Amino acid sequence: MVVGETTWRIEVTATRAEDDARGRAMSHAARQAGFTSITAIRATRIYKLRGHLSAAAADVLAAQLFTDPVIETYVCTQHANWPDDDTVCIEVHLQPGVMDPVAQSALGAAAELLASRAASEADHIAEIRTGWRYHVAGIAKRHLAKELAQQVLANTCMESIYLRTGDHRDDLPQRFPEPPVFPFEKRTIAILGLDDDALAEVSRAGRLFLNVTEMRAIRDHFAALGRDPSDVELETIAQTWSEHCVHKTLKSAVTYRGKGFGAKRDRDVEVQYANLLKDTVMRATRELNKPWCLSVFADNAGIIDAGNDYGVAFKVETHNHPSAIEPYGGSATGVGGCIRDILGCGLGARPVANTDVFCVANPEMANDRVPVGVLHPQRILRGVVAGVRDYGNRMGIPTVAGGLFFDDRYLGNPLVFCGCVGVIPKERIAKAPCKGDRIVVAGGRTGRDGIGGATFSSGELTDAHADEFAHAVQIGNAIEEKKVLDAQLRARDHEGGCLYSCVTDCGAGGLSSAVGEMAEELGAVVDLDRVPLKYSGLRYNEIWLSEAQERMVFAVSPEKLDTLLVVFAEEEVEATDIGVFTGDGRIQLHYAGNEVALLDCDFLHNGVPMPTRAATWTTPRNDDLESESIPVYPNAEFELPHLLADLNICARDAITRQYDQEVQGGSVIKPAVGRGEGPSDAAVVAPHEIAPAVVALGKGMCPRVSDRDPYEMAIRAIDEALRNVICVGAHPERIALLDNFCWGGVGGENEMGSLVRACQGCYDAAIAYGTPFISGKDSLNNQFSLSPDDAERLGLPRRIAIPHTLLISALGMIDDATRCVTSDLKRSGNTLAVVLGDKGSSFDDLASRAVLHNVVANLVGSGAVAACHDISDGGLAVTLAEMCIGGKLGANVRCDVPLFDDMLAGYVLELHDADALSSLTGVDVRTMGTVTDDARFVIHGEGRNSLDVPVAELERAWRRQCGIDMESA
Amino acid sequence: MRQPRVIVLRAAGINCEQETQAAWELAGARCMIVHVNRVIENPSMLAECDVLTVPGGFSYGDDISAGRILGRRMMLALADGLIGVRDRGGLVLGICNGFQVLVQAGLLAAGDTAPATLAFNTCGHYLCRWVTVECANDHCVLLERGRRYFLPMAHAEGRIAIPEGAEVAADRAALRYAAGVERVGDVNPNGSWGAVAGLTDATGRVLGMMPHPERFVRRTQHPFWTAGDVPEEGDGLAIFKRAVDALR
Repeated sequence: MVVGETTWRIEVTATRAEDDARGRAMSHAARQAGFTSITAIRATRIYKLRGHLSAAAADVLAAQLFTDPVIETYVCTQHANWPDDDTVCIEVHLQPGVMDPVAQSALGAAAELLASRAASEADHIAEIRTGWRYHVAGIAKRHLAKELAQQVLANTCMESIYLRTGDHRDDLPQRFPEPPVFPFEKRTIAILGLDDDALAEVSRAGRLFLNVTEMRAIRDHFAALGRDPSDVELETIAQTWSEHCVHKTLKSAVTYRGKGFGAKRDRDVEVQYANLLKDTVMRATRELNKPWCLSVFADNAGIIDAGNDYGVAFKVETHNHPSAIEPYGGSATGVGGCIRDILGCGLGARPVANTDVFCVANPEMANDRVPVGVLHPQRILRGVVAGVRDYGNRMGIPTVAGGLFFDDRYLGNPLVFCGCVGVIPKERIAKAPCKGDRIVVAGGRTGRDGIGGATFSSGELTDAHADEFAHAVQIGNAIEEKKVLDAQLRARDHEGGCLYSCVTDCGAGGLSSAVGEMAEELGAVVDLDRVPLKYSGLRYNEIWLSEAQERMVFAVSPEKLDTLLVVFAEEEVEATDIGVFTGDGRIQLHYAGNEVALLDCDFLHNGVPMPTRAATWTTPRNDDLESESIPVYPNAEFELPHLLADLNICARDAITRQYDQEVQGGSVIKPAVGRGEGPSDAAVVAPHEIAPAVVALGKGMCPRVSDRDPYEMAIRAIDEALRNVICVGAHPERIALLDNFCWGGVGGENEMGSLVRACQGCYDAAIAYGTPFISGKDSLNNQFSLSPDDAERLGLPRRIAIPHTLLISALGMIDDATRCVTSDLKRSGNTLAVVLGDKGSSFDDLASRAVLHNVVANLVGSGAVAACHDISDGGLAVTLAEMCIGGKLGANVRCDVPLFDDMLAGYVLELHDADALSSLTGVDVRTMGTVTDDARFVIHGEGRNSLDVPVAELERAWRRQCGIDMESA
Repeated sequence: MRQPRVIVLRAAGINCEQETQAAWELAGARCMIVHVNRVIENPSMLAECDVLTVPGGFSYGDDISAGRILGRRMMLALADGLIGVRDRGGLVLGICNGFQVLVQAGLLAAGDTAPATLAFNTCGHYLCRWVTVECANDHCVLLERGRRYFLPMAHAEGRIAIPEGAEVAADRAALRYAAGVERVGDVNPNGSWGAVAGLTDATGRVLGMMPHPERFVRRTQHPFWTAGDVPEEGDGLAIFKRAVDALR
């Protein structure tokens, strides 16, 4: 602390319990987590102030800034003391270095308030930190209080806990933590002459996640230079070569030996791929050669033509490992990172919609079934929802589409997919830094948060991960990113032309990845001393590699630099010139007057060894498959409500209602459709730049099919994503796809084989349907290692790998918003029909599937369709029930199609005029019956397949809200 | 006919400025978006406008509490200018976060002596849904007595709270939640005192409301427009048009 400074502590408490939202939420969460004896928790917000502050000044801040006099009271003290009563009392404070957005916002307001007081010229505020105090009624024992704090009130990987139970009092923190001082010392890592074992040890000790082949290549490169690498050089290579950044598995050469694909599945084949991704997913795009694909696989997002002067960009990212450890921060920074991909695509697109998909274990799982080192699925789900909500809502970007999938193999390694759609002027797509351009970093300051994010994401999770990788966890600050967005778009659209020649975001890998990628052709010199820091004490390698959020890097020509800096200053965004793009093809880093790195860009970007991988596949026998026991129901009337209440089918509005779906005023089709708020197949948004055209967003995912055959999973996922957007009015002629591969692992040949099969499925379906891929991302190590004791206690395997999961996102352009169709039934008397491929649900003949999609898309486009809904999980009866719920209408049908077949993959249509069906060819179309206004769902089937139930009863079952309890989020 | 001049305020975290500007322009006003810092640097801007609108968003992250920081900044630097707009016969409109800001800036209260604040929703979290609100009196210039407006709300802190024993004066309760065409949920979605959804001041020329009129100006924004029977013009646009008419 600086001499003469004082510290103050302001405690703000709601006067009435009903106004204590935090306390009520926490007591609810506590009871839900099993602390059933708790009767009440009261919360007190703590603001700790440091600066030259008189008592009067501290009191003014407390009264006029921190307290709402209508519902709150405050206490202002110089020392932290436990209260004089005998309740259990718990304080939670952020650890030093963890982002505290509230404190950042409050600091500026406090300084302004102090400056406005004539009598207080001497007052100055230097720092604010925030914390919480909880008074807990209903428990007394110290170990219970500690468990409560650890499981409900705090996340110990970023917060510290202080307890007062009875006479046992922890010392409360009185002072502000002082960051360590870092005396400069350049470190080199001795690798010359090391053998394989020693190289592996260097990789392990440095958490580099580089394999021995890669370590050898690095050793040989530096041997040729005649020196050992510095720590930051080695870490830069590890980051650049990480699976997260270079996708070396998907881009590797693969020899596949195993069962053939589709109709040839019974024959053994051998296939060589020179580059798996390029020879499958990207090849489909190349061969389809759609003129409306403006930028594919080249930038931070794929871009398609909107039909006027704009393009539409779409990117979906995963943020799985951070979300496993800190769900709220993990999903929030996942959203933030994906939005930055859109800002960093071309010269910057304006974000117009977010999407989210979560894969988690059963949120109603018993507490004692959860392994050590794993957060309960309920806590994960609540946390990731709250993270998406708080980041997306604050950014002013509507979260309009998503998905939620439950399988207990996601227990230790949940999946969190975050997508973002943006709109970009076509003339702002091309970008490239020029020799001599300045390197400008803008946005949040750099701290120690998130160091090693790229390498962390590439490893597997273990029971000790939360401790080892606590530093990879981050808290987002959406408002910082919103300011960056505002400033960047002003600079992009500046009257004299764009103020920068290139931009990219700081993702995992920080400046190392952002500057490294932009400098790939040119080389760069960076002065690490100039990078603005949150606090002192960072080493040079931490500055270079920190994953600190909300930062973008710009290449700015020297004559435009001043103008750009003014624009950013006006938007209250810090922007700093940290170096220059040189043209000599080397990355040169300086710190404290020393050269700490001198890396050859060619080696950095092209030196990673890409060995040929072997891949095999044998079709699993039925009894090898881990199948869930499928319950047997006496009849359809009994089965349908149970299916509607299934976790993977039931309503999601407890989640979607927490997302702002309406901001920007562009939502045309929302997650809930119709008077009865049924489920929509896809979202439709209307960015003003591309009016009257609109964008449809859908997704397809069927991880359980991957147990049987990942090839079929890929095709089914694509088919479902396509059906989703076709239902709302898109046509396969204008649909683009995104892939997100999340694999359990790719270490073994069979796992590689499963990846090959999925990639080949992507190619085959994309070609058959005429729908190109434009972007993608992979995360290939999603497994959790239990401790031996825990595995035995729970009767689980030592390693739980997720089911191989391919998320397909579809982006469809629709010419006119008013042509969109929703799934809710519209009018009594209308005809209901089911449309299937002419080979039923077989995926062996993709050409017939393509006909199905085109026929339905044309029919929807003709205006004959009143409602259209895709048949997926649950089958036909569930699809029809959802349409009834949405429309608040009934249905009376007779049909010979299986009612509950998950694999049917067709469409249910409501038609204004049944005659429209007569002209359909090449598909299997069956008229089923009519829409009724008696609010009953009636199926005339044989025996057990008949049912007659009130729609209200079906709706009650369906609205069970997927086991999530958001009251405490 | 004179075209009213509208300033839509922008600040770090405000995020509804573009659609709010679009709604004003659709209603016939001339509208510009200005950063609050530019207004603080040059408060005379307020003397040249007929309407000041504080749009929705999360000004300064809603840190400390919703609207607190921007509200206190405006109270310190712009109080005279805001009151000037109103007293010259102009209008001040705060939507959602803008309403929270106007309350924190001291421009809106439960009555002449009773303060009001916007506290956390009773449900404990952010809630985005459509609601019906009704104008029960003819005190507020922007609203039509007896009219119902079907609009989206999207907030976490929209519950009007007042001191124990106080009440919201009848003429200040500009809008109340009412049962309408929406499917579900409590009629009073956030537990607001007296189901109040919007407040006006003694002059009726300042309005703060939690639902978002700028998000329902076109038919295709309605949550079940595909089911038919939805007019081309959204209920929200009526509020902007009435304001423009009042200023002409």
